Amino acid sequence: MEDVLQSKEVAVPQRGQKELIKSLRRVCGWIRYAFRAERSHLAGASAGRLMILGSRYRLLIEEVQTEYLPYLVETDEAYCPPEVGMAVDRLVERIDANSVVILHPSESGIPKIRAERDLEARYLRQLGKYAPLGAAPGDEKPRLFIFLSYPQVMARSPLIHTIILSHEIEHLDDWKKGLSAELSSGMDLTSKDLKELVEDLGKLRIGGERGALPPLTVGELFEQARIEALVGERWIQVRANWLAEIVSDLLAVRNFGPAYFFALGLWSLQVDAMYAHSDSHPSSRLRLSLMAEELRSMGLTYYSAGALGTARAHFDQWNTLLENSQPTDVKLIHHVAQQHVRRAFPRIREAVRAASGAATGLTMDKKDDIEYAVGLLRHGAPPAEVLEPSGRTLRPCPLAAIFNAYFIFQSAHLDYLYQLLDANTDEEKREALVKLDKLVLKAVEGSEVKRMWDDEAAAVPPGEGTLHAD
Amino acid sequence: MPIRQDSPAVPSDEELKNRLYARRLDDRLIITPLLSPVIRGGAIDIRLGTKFITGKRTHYTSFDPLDVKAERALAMQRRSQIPFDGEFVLHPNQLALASSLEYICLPHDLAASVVTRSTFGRAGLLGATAVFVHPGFRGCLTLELLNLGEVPIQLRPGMRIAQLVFLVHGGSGEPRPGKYCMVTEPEFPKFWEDKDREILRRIRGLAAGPRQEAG
Repeated sequence: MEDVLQSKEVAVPQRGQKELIKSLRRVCGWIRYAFRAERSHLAGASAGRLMILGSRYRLLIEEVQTEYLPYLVETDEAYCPPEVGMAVDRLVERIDANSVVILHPSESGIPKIRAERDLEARYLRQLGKYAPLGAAPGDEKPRLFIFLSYPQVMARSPLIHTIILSHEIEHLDDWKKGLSAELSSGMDLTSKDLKELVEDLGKLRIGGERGALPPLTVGELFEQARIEALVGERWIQVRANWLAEIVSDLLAVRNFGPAYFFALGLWSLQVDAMYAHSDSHPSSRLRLSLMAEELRSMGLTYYSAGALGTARAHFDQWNTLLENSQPTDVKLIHHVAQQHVRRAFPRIREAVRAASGAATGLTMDKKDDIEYAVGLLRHGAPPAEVLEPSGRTLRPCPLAAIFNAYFIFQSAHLDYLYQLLDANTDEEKREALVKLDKLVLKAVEGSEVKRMWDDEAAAVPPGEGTLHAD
Repeated sequence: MPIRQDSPAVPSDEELKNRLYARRLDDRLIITPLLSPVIRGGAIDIRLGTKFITGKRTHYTSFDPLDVKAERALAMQRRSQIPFDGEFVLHPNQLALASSLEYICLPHDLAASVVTRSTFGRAGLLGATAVFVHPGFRGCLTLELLNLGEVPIQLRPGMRIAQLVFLVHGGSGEPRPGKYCMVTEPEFPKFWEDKDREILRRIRGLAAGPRQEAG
């Protein structure tokens, strides 16, 4: 079998999601081919050896198929629109040029991102000497594999794409820069906080009624030192999780502006995550209020006219909502964490600003593009390109401008859409909104294709690489 | 930037270029994304998009335009989307509806015809039969791709597959809301929205409204 495998040249994963998937498919193909050859060769051999080989290949094929191959955009069963996949690929490349992104469907409803090094080495370990992956001389292997789960329910909503594109990818940026890890080390509990937490935990009743006896408390069961250790461990985890979320939020709001703020707000209302803290995530209310501070400092409130003026009005409404609503049933550790985060927020913000390297955030620098994109949507056109002031060049519209224009258009200009589509009944208006979503997706695709085209066209000498005009 | 009254029926290449970059959106001929535009003889090439509809075999006995409704039409089609760097194989005698990569917004005084590029025509590919695009149209064009050749054709998004030949339109050409307005993907024929259908049904003594679908 080794001869069979060595006689074939199998490509190693290269940059880009499509190349990786192609490579993995080929790997699966060769595994099957090799297994068939081995089976016929071992036709008379003992069943035990065949079974061992078979299970090894079966496990590998299953792993490859279940983890990577379900995300194939060539069929109508695709969960994630390819245009979003393209955009994700580019945004991740901005953070790590030697990485590949794998989008895979998820039924959980909440997107998650994880990164892994040396994926190929894992396969090599699993297959041992039969590993059908071989590197060609000079091939540069991707250092990092990034898995982004893509909830099926979000497949056609550009609103949710914003959250995925910005927040989840900024987690990766945070991880690469070590921002939240560094901040976390400077946020230990004060002795007063710890005492309060331990006392409170000590009073916690556990177990049910024991006949005439009252329920036990934690303090009766465990010594104070044990409780302190428990609280300390939990605190370290909560602190790390919360800081990672807040840092990613701030990075996202700096890169994507009010669009991310509005998207998270609407999504939180949809999934009922506005007020509840958990050990893994602070409540959306806290996250939104911190983002609102950042948006104010970025200068959103200074724009009172035009498209960003509309965003500001919408933003003010959200702030009223945030100020007039209170969370209920907050656990003590989360209450303490909230106080800590608020107190440390100036330091968190400074660290994020220093890391993002932009004084006002990218979105505010693109306010003209946002105005332009809103104008195109009002005209019934996807804002895929922006006309340069020179008047003879169109450049790709930034994703931040597309998404912000989408929210602004939804806030203030839907009448244009209804008029354009002659939508009068509720059903017709719903259909019009679906068309708007598709139009925004078309804009994302157009912008990404234009960017890719311009990059590649610069490398093609004139007169080559295109079909002849008739 | 109105086109001159004495201008010919087919606008010049220079006029088209000016229209592509007009500052006022109402005057602009929007073709987006505009990738290395080839403008020649009053025509601009358009490219193949990423979304397709192909036919599906069903248990329905036939396709009757007078009787079909949305649910049945949906059962007869298979929608697919490929990545921009993917490929779509069109087999001999296969019909596929595809969308143009470009989203088009025609100004009020320009109309257009869609013509298959002869390069593809010679390879046996018929690309467009519904040739006229009205002034004020907004959306991606639906291309009816038919492989009349003997071998499968590999089609790739971004290929320049057809041409838009422009014509100056004398009327007001106000944007009209319509069933194919602002579409971004190929559209299956919406016979059920055709106003003539009811008249034709009545002439033939068929009951008003579509018959109850079976299955």
